[in-house]
Amino acid sequence: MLFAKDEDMENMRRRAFFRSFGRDISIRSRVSGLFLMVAGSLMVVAFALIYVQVERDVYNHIDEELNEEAGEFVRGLQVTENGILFKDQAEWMERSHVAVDFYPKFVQVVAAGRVPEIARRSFNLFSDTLRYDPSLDNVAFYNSDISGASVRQVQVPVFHKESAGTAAWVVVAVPLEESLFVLSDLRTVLFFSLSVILIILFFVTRVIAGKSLAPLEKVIDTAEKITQENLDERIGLPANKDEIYRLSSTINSLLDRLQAVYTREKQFTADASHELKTPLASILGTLEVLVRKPREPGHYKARIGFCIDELKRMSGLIDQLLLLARYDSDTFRPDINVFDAKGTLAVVLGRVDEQIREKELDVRVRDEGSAMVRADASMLEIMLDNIVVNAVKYSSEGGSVSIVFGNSSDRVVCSVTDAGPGIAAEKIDRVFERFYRVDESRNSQTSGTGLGLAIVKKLADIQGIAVHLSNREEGGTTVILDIPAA
Amino acid sequence: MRILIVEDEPGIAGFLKEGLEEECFAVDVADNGREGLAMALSSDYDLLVVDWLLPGLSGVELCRQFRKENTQVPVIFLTAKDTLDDVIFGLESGADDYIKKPFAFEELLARIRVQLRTPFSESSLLQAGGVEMNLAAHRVACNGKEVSLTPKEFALLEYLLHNKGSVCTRSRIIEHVWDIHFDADTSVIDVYVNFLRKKLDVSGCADLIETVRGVGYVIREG
Repeated sequence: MLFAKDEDMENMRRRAFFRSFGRDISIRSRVSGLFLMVAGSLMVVAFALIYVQVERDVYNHIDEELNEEAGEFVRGLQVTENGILFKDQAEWMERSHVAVDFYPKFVQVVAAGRVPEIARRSFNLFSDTLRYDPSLDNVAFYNSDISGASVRQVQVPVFHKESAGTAAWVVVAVPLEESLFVLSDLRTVLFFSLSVILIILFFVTRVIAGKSLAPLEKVIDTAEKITQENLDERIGLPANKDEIYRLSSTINSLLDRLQAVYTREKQFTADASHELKTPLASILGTLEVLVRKPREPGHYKARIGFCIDELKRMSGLIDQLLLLARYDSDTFRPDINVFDAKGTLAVVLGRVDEQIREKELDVRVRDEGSAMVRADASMLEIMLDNIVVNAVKYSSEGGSVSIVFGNSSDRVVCSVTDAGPGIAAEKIDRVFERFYRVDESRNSQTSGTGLGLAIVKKLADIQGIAVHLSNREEGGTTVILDIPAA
Repeated sequence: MRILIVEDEPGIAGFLKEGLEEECFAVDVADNGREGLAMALSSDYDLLVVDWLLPGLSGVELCRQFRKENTQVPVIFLTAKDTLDDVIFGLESGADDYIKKPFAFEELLARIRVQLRTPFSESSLLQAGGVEMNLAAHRVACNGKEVSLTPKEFALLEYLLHNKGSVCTRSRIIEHVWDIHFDADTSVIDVYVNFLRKKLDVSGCADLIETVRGVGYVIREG
């Protein structure tokens, strides 16, 4: 077991190594490597074509000459029953290159028979003979050698006039050394130039790739240095609006969004901790001071009553925080049903009945259409509860609260209007932020936790309800809920 | 000793005032930053306890502005902000100490005493003639015999002992021993001094507190 495991581990490590080996190669090396491979292959093909063409030209040229020369000789031959006759002995003598030519041609005539026999040889062959292939019965060009020296030769059959059988072969050869030398020289030049060009290309592409990727390195360096401590740093944008510019500005806007979320979360945590610690501190301190010495029963009652109120406040705050946390999670799905929102409003109003009577508020509900909505009933109740409680809380004594249900196309519009002090224009945009409070002195009788409207907004977003809050010219605030109708 | 509490949370301000008054401090409360700063600058407080998050003017800003005018009076920050950065920021803005909410009242008391003690003296022991005052135990002994004092008498004696050797004018005594609600009838001080002298006389320390005619009172060295 242990061994098997070790082996597996080893295999995994090896695989990981090979994977990382391929992956760890930088773009710079990959680009230059790829470019080099493509350029190299193209050059090899081009050079091969050049070489093949030159070689063919060289051989064509030689073969043409050989053909011409052989033709002359064949024409000078006469085939009879007795053998081969040379039409003009003098001409043969002249043609057969007595002198050692600068570009000599060697000629040999082979008489066919049961045993082929060399009938004539040019003098410049001295004691050498040209090779020939008696099995060939048509014109053939091939490379051969004379005592080790390369030659190109042509073998031309000469036929009997009657029997059409081969009577003789004329073999003509020219030295090939020169041409072979030229070709091998060409090969060498092509090979070396290919190598040199490839090496130069390799370094040039590396430098160019490196240069064009250098801004990327800068981006990486900057991005690497950004942590939660310096989230406000940004990557410098290059002057040209190229891909690097786009990458940098994309990363920057990603950082903007991250920073906004991070700041909001940090602020929320700080606010939540402050809101929880403050009542805790006042309860703790009050009780500590209370037990320092014996006191009147009434004193105890007052202080403990205060602590109970503070604990209730804390408990309410914790409920709201948990509510937000639950609805913040992505897995949460609202339970959407069709129901009458007026019923929900009645339940909510019943709950604040005592406060309404205490402040002698005039609460009017008016419906100008159906209030059948498509929403999550428990969520809508929480939303209406927060809005109505706010309206009651901020209304001055004897004031009025009006709640109107209306319809517009496929929506139910519910507006709650109070006759309270309204909200300062510069603060109205922020009322849905968590822990944001319009009233700065957080401890007046009217203030809550600062989470009510944030919860309303959150629940509205989940259910596809639009919330709008505005000041009325005659004073007071209107909250409008735009709910999908059934 | 007179303390100004700048705290907008009535629950906290309430128990602080109650607890500190029981410890014989004169305590005033401001529930917003601007009022707090105005009070701190206009009256002669021995110590400020300042919350960070205040309506009107933040505790940090209050502290900065107060320090421009006054570098002597100690300031203790009292706040729910609890990160290291917050603590450092608070102390750098001119506060002398920093207590995170929630805190134990006894700790705040000890820290207030630390800020108020005269340099190079034991933190909670004041002495003159045959009189020994233990601030922590809240006890006064005269020639080894314990003397029972009311909170105001205790505060008066404490103030005079703190300023041993220098004459305390009636108005200064009023500022430091009584709170802002006291109407400036300085004859009350003479009444309390008489009470004190009588109680100390029982143990033979009647001449501890000297009257400086037309000015105030003094406890001499030795």
